[in-house]
Amino acid sequence: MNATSAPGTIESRDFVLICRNIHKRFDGRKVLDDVSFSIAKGAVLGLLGRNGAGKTTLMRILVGLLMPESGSATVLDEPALRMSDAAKTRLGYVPQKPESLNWMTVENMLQFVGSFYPRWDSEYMWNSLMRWNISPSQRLAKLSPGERQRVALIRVLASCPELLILDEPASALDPVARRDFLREIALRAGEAGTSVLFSTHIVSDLERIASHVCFLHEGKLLLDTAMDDLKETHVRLSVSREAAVGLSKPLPGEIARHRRPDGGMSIVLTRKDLTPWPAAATASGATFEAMNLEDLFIEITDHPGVAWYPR
Amino acid sequence: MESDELLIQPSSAEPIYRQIAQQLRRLIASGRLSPGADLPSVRDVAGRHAINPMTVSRAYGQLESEGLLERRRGKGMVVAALRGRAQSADRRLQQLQPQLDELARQARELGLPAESVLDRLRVLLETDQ
Amino acid sequence: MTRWVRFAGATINGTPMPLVTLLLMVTAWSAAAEIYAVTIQIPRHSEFAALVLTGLHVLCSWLLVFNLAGLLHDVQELRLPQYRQLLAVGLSGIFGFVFVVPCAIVWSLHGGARDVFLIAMGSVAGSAGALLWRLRRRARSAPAARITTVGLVPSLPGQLPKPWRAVRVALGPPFAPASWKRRGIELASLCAAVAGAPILVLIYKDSLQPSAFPFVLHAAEFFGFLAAIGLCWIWPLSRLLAIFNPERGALSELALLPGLGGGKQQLRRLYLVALGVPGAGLLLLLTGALLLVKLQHLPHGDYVKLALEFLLIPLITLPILVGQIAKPSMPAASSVMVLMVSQTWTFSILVWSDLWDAPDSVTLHRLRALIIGIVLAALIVFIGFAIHALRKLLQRPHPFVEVSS
Repeated sequence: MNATSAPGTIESRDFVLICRNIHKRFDGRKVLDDVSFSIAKGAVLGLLGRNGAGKTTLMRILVGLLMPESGSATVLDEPALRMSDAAKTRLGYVPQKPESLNWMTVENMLQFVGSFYPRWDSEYMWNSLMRWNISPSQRLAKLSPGERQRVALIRVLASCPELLILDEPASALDPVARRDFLREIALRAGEAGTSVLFSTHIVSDLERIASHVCFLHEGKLLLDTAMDDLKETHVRLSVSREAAVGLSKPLPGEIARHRRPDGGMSIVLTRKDLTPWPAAATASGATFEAMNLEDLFIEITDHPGVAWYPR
Repeated sequence: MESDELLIQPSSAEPIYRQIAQQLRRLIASGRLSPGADLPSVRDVAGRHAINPMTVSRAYGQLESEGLLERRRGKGMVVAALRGRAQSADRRLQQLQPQLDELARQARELGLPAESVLDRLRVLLETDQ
Repeated sequence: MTRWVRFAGATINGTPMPLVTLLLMVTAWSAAAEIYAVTIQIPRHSEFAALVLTGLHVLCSWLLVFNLAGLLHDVQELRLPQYRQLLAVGLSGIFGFVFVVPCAIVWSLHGGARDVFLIAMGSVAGSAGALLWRLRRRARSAPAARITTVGLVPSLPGQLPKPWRAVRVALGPPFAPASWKRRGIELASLCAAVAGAPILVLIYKDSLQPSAFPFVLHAAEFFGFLAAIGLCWIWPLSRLLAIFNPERGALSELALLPGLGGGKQQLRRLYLVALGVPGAGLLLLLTGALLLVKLQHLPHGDYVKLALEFLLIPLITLPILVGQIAKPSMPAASSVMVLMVSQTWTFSILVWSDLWDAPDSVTLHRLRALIIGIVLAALIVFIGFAIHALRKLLQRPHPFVEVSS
């Protein structure tokens, strides 16, 4: 799933979404800088990024709602800006604040939308409405943000898509609804082979259900790996100030490093590379810590002046 | 066995599939899961804990390849019979590899000589038996 | 007792708005009554004062009844004790303030039976309007409020709905298919807007000077039609603008709904629906206006002027609409609306002024030529702008793409 694989090796049949070299500017500010990645069938890709990192912009470009400056996005083997009706029936998108068709009631909106999708599951729709206690004859504009988001999720899940693109889908949900939603997504991905791309800043959600994870930081894609690999191979090496002197060159497998306030250095690296490390790295006083996703993300994105080495 | 009995911590640094595999190994080794016992289906575990079913099947698959579980038609995964679980000492030692790595690393960090660590380890192993 | 005091105190101290509004209403009403008392002395002109007073009275009674009804509803929600007594007091207060007191005042000013009757009718109209408005608001949040999509959901599964109806529903009211009742209400309000002012003028025909009467009638008709055009052309277009406003998420739904066709098809359908419904309304108004002109046996020149007026409206408003859709960095929809309406006004004045009917003279010729030249130049600019914006729109892969500045 690594984005650096050559284009010739990408079998478009196996990938439901491919984006290459996306650049986007807003008011002269670079919002997306050479973003490329792809999603295989059945994968659940979590897009992690801080607020304002460009997640929403990227997703709008992937869905064809925004035109990138350069680069292309291919969704279900069709260009994102010119999707055919058939592709649209297999795609489901939920924006961050769903607001469309707000003048209709819940029931009317779902029935109206449902009439366009050949695989619409109205039983699932009614069950979900009952389970989440949403009155079907309530106007959409009058629902609370959590209920509105739930209705949008029902709308997209009842259409049984092959590719789900969700922009912060759980942001307005309470913990019970969030767990429910994650369960639904996970089961669909695992059993029906639905591919999912969702952006979030709730890291624990990602850790539960994502099979792959991407970091988007200031418009650049910093990391794009399988979740299990990430946890198994990334460690944090902390060295004291004295040892840091001997580590001016990047270590094999290093991803990022930053200076700590006490003068020491904190280095994030992968353990796959088997070349031996310099002595300073294994001297006493150097500690290794396994990292979970949150630690890794904070380590890479939180420190100003972090030097990072994209693979 | 119920899927509730598994404890899953998504925020730990250990991948979920390894957590599941470790816990199952311990349950089998301690005898809590007797040979022939049914394991909850992948869907059950994934649904109960809201995790990706692929993770669960990866854990199950790993244990199946180690000979601890076997697949029965129509019943899903069951704990393998004792006979099938006879593993060479090497393979069993392989299971301890992560813990041994960790122990070695921490010992190095603390600057402890190998002999004192090994002595303490020997005492612990012999007391258990 | 303290509960009442506290409640009253909270109501008064909560926002000064109700108190201020009440004061304004009372003073305005008193001023109008004063003017009425004075003009009633002048023969043949008292009807206008009565009209002004009635108009103000309708507004005041509407506001009063609306707020009091709301207050009573809140009190009911609060489940205060002695609710029935409060209800009785409230209703009698409304009756007194809105019906009895104004009629008594007018009677005391020697207004005559007709004026008292007019005031009473004004009260009825105001109260009815206020109560209907309240009921409509409550009906909106009640479960019974639905917009029917019967006929849109296909009876056979696997059969997709027709794209035209889909676009109409997706655009929302007033484009969405609606029940006959709703359409009837819309038509009725349109007729009321057109015919309201002229009918009033016709009622008071006797009190107007014979020479001023045609002018006033035409002015009333003009305003009536302007209001109707605002309702059936400008308001739907403003709804369209609201959908295309990129701040809201309405576009994403439309963009990703399957079955609406490819990019060019979507654009064509969208424009046909968006302009078709208001355009039909405009044509209806045009026929009505032409009929009126024929009925009143006005000179032929007026036919031309009327047609020109109705042609100018789309010519002016459409480029602004298209420009706004093509480049949403322009100011907010409300200011665009104001711009549209104001420019229609300017051109209307030019069309209907006496400039074209006055006897010829050299300066008048030159003035007319100058005006025609300016208008043509402005129109060319508008049309050019519209074509430019349209071309930009056609370049888009599909019409719902958001274009950033």
